[in-house]
Amino acid sequence: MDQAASVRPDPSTATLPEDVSPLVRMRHLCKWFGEHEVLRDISLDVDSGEVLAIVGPSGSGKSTLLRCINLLEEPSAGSLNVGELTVEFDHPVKRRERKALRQQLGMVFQSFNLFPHMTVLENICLPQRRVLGRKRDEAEAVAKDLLEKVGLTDKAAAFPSNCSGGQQQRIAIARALALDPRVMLFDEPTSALDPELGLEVLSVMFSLAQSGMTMIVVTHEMSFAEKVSDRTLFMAEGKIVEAGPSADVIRRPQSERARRFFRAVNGL
Amino acid sequence: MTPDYFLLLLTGLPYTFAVTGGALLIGALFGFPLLLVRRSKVTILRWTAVMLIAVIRSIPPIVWIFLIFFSIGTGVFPISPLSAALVGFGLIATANMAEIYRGALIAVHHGQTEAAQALNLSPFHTMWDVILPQMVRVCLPVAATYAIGLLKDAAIASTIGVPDLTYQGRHITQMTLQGLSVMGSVGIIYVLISLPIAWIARVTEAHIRKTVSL
Repeated sequence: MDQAASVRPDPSTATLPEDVSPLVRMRHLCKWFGEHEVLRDISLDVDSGEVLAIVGPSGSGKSTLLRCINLLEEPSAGSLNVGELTVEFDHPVKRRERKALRQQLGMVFQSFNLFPHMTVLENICLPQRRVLGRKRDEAEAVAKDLLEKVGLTDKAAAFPSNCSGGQQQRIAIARALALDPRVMLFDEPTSALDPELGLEVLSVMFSLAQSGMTMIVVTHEMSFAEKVSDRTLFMAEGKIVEAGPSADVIRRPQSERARRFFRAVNGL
Repeated sequence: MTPDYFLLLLTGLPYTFAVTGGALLIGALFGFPLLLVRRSKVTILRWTAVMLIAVIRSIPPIVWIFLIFFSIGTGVFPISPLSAALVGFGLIATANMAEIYRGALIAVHHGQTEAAQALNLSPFHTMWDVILPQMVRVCLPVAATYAIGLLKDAAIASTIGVPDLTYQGRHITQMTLQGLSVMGSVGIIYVLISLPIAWIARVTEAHIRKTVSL
């Protein structure tokens, strides 16, 4: 009983004790779109090597939360910590802060967003050369190594339009990994794919999780959340409603809102 | 029409090309900075660009050419007919190219900018490496169509004395009174110039559809 209580101390937050230093730490994060409050006072910690799944109905703010971490959306208030870097949102974010933050984060989008005018190899090499200043040879070596890891060595010279959705998403993962991020953010990475193609993406994500990568995954794949992620966060109406070990949250949700959601997901 | 007259007619071609090509070049070059101002975060700058583009495009080309050649050109500082035509059509092409670029920018999927930002590419490299190459692909067919329109508008330059194809046609007609054969030839020459441009537009468009799925 005590242990269960310590796992879920407060349903509105998902934070560690203050003396433990997490890789990602959010405190009182808020986001307004005009009059509409999309994120309400979010506090959240993600440990190094942890895989966190964020689930919830559409419009619950889960994608916005993810996009606030790499500042594709700028939070309206609160603070964000990634590694040694702290960004306070009481002032407009400085370019230097944004750069330093994004340097540590990789992102994978629902719609892949590969650059259609470049080959697969160029897609993975260009950011390395522009952002990390790697030489062409070095960047290509990294790219080829990563393409092998995602099982697409033969696609190096192809254009994205000649790759399947599943292949494109695996290339997008390789492109993000090539910049050596400390945390990978996934925004519904399989939602645009049919189940079979989704599976090949999920298996790449699974081995990435096995390798110890810190991952924050917004997903509708409950089986992925349950099997791969260490913790699952259930969000609704811009708030964290439940957070805890994935099996607990998905199998034994405590709030009525979460119970309703998981019942709908399971089709019961 | 004798060969002599036909050769005289052809001396107009370089001027037609100069006005059309020159204006297109000016437009292609200055249209981009105008687009950037048009999309500036500073409201006053943005609205200035919007107004400028609207005003330039609302006034008929012939009025612009007269305005530049007869008012500014004769009053403040003298300007040659060719320069006046280049300034006038260059101005119009700049406004139109800015709008063509803007359409192309909108056509490039927003996710491309987001991906570049998430990968930490600088604003310059986002534009240069990711957005611009895709914009060019979208632009080409539209710009080629615009070039054909400009080629025809450029005939207006003959009214202020630029000795282009149309000017020579009218000149020879007045001398020979053989309007049908002379102006007919002028018309055919315009068709022969336009066709390859239209063909290039169609081929590039088909090529883009095949290679880059936007």
